[in-house]
Amino acid sequence: MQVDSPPVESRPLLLETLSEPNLPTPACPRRTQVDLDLLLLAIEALDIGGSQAMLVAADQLSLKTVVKGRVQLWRLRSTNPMRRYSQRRPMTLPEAKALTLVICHLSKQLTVLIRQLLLGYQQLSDRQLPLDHHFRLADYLKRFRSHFRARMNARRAGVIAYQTDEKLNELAIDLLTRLLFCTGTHGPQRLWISLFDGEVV
Amino acid sequence: MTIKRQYTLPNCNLILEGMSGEDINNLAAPMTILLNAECQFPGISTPLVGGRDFLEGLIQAVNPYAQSLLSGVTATRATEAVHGVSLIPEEQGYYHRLALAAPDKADENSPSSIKLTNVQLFDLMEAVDQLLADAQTLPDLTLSLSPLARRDIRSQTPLAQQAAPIALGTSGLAAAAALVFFLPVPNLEPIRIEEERPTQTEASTPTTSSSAPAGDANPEPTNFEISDEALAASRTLARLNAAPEITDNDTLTQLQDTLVETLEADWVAPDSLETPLTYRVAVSEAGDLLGYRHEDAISGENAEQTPLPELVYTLIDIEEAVEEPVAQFEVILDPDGSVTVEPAEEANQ
Repeated sequence: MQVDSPPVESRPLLLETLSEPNLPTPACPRRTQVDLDLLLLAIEALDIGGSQAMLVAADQLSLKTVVKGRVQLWRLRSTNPMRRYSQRRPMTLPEAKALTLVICHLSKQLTVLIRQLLLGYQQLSDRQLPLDHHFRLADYLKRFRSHFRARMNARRAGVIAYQTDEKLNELAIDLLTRLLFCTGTHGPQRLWISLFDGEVV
Repeated sequence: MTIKRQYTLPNCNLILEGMSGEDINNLAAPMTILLNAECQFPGISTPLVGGRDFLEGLIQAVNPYAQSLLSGVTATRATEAVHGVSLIPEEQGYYHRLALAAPDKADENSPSSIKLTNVQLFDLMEAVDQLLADAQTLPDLTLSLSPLARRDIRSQTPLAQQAAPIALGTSGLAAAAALVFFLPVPNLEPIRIEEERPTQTEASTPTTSSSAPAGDANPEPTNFEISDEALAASRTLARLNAAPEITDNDTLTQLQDTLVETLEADWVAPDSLETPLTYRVAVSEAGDLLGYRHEDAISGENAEQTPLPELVYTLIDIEEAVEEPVAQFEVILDPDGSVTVEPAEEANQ
């Protein structure tokens, strides 16, 4: 039998577990791209091998057809308009779904650490102690700040708001809290739906 | 027979007691009737207790609250407390307040509100999620989430801040208009052709009137040979002389043919003309006419009648060295309308 077209790549079934939001445009809104990239950045700050773990996770979740490799992952993350080398390309819904699943998968693996850091942060801020009293937390914050500064375009309006260490620490803790809420049983669904808050019609 | 289900997390225990509405003897039957729900937080002695209403209220309070924590977007309308259960952020710090509007009357000690940390709140949400995912317990309860619609969100920036750019823009425009109002109306004079700025655009100025419309010191018509334009043209060409030459014979032939074609199409000899007009022209590789110069007095006088001023490209910066290769040709325009184009013998003359 003669086949004229290449075989159609089947969509990963896992993506079907996330519902289609009722968006006015076919591509993802800007905030979705920002949020997904920042959450991945927080994962990298938590886990030194984070960027490799993302590829492994994509493989384990059989999302290889969407996240094909390191370059593709970088291009997806670079749709974040805050980035220094931002790619002016839209992020499709399957791509966003794949990143959502990767984030939840990795955050589940990091549950213990995330909880430790958040508990530590709560204790320190209750006693109004500086955050570097908690070694692991200070380490996370430092790495997050340096990742953020290295990759984001400091001249962009969205990035200017995070010029000081304090603001970046706040963002890092906020992202940590969000990662915690991704670790749950329905983490992917909850994260996915939250990405479109205020964007659907 | 009562069935007890317990969802245990480090910081939250959700204990449900109920019974199966179906076969009592079937142990695998799902729990469909809830008798009592208890939500305990370790460290807080008294649990929140209630019936099915309390449980439903808890679920409906936790879902939107967790969503707003995840998205950072808050709804315009505060979610109403369903069955008296509400969840709101604390004034300060990363705390949340879970409140029960009507504590169970039977238990006087039942707390009406509990302060939760992020981790406790997450454990509460996770207990709810596990319950919702559990098909053996209250299978009619399922997770239903939907993103907030655009009209339902509170804008991230306050109205005053939103209005600021508009106000700034309007007042800026008004200020600029006021300033400009006091400026004198510019006195427009015809542009004088400066000697340092020879231009081909000005070639449209009739050469016969000495081509210096504004304040030329020597406005006599016979003096065209040292007129601005003549100087300009020769300068341009002199400058083009410095440019690299096109040496490829095929290109040269092609350029030559194109030039003949273009000129023949446009060249209409004036009646008074008796002798042929001769010009030296420079052409770019793409066939654009970059400059021309008359070779004798009669040609200079009649330059305006030829298609050359129309065809020549305006050079933006006359002093800038020409990098692209050019070819120079000798153009002879005959009074009978024919055009002859020959490669210039000495380009660097």
